[in-house]
Amino acid sequence: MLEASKINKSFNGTQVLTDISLEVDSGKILCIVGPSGAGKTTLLRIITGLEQADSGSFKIDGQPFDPDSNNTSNALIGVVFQDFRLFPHLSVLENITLAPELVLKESRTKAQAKAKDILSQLDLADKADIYPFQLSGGQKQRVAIARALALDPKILCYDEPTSALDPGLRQSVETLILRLKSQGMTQIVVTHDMTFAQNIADKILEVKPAQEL
Amino acid sequence: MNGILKYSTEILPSLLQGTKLTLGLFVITLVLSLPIGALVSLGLRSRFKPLQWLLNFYVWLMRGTPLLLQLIFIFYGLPVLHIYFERFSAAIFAFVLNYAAYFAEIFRGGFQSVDKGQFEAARVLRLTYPQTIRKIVLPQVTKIVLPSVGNEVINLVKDSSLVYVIGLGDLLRAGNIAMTRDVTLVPLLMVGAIYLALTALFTFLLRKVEQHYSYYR
Repeated sequence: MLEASKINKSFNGTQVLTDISLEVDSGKILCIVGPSGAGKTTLLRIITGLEQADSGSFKIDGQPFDPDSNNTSNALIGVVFQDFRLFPHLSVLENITLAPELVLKESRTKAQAKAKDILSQLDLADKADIYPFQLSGGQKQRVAIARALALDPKILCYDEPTSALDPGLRQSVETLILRLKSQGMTQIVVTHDMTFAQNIADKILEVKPAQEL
Repeated sequence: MNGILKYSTEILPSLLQGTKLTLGLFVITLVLSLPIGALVSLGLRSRFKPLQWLLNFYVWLMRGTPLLLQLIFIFYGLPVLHIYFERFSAAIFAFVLNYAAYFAEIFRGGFQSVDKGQFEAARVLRLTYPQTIRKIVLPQVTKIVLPSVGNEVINLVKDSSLVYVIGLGDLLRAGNIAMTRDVTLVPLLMVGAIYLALTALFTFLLRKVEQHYSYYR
């Protein structure tokens, strides 16, 4: 599905990523683990086009792919941020329908029907009309997942999905990620939590801390 | 007491005439300077340095000199360079230039306080920059800047009395004429009362707008 080879990235002379290669197959889960400061999040930001690699190449389904152009109407990679980044001024439903309406040019009716469908799959059916500040952390995360899913991504990426939640919620995140896997979603999960990674991963990529140049 | 009441009703029409001009100036200035201020604040964040310098200079100039000086400069000074303004246009020009600069600074602060993560969230959802500004950033900036904008709105009601200096018949001038003609304090007290009523009204309206935006945190 997604292949990255020899990704390099440095910030102000500090090499953060050195010749990182990874591969994730369709419908599988790749966990990127490593201590904090090792560059896991940077790697994820490169994959999702929020940061540009200094060198390296990407392929999706064998075709060359530039994450920086992860902005065609052909949805490829969805992102669930560590701090969720919901839009506070929009209701849960509007958070989810915004991009399908603006980017995929779906009609409001269609976008809302799809959003409600996704919400009920994530046990959030009754939350459609409230605002993010009224949600718990776990609910916010599921809204963020719903928002990403609404664009029909081929790959869903998570940055530290367990770190902003109560420890007790780890189990439910695992269940959710594995459920999405059973529906065929390809997922990349950045985490520092090794147990969590081992519970969900098909493959684990360990990123080592930075070295001074 | 009856005399004062009778006198008040006699001069009220001329005061209301002045109020009309004051309000006209107020509304036109707001309608023009708010969007211009928003555009300038976007320009202040531009990556195109010359534009940033130019706009910073403009804001510095407008905020660093008295509005009264700007008004006098435009109406009495520019004719020396053969640029002529009709009184009311001169007032609008000066007020819009001045207030747009203040609003630009307020909006710049507002834009800065929108979490950078919101831009990234919009980006990974593949919203375009204009879509991000319109749908994500502006609504949040509006809520953030409302109290400061409200402050300027109240200031504008009172600042409008500065047009007195270029001979426009605003509320203050109407009161002053009546006072010097009739040698009484009543007109000035009435002028004060009208300004108070106006600022009370706008304060109330601004509260309503703030309440409207309080549906989220």
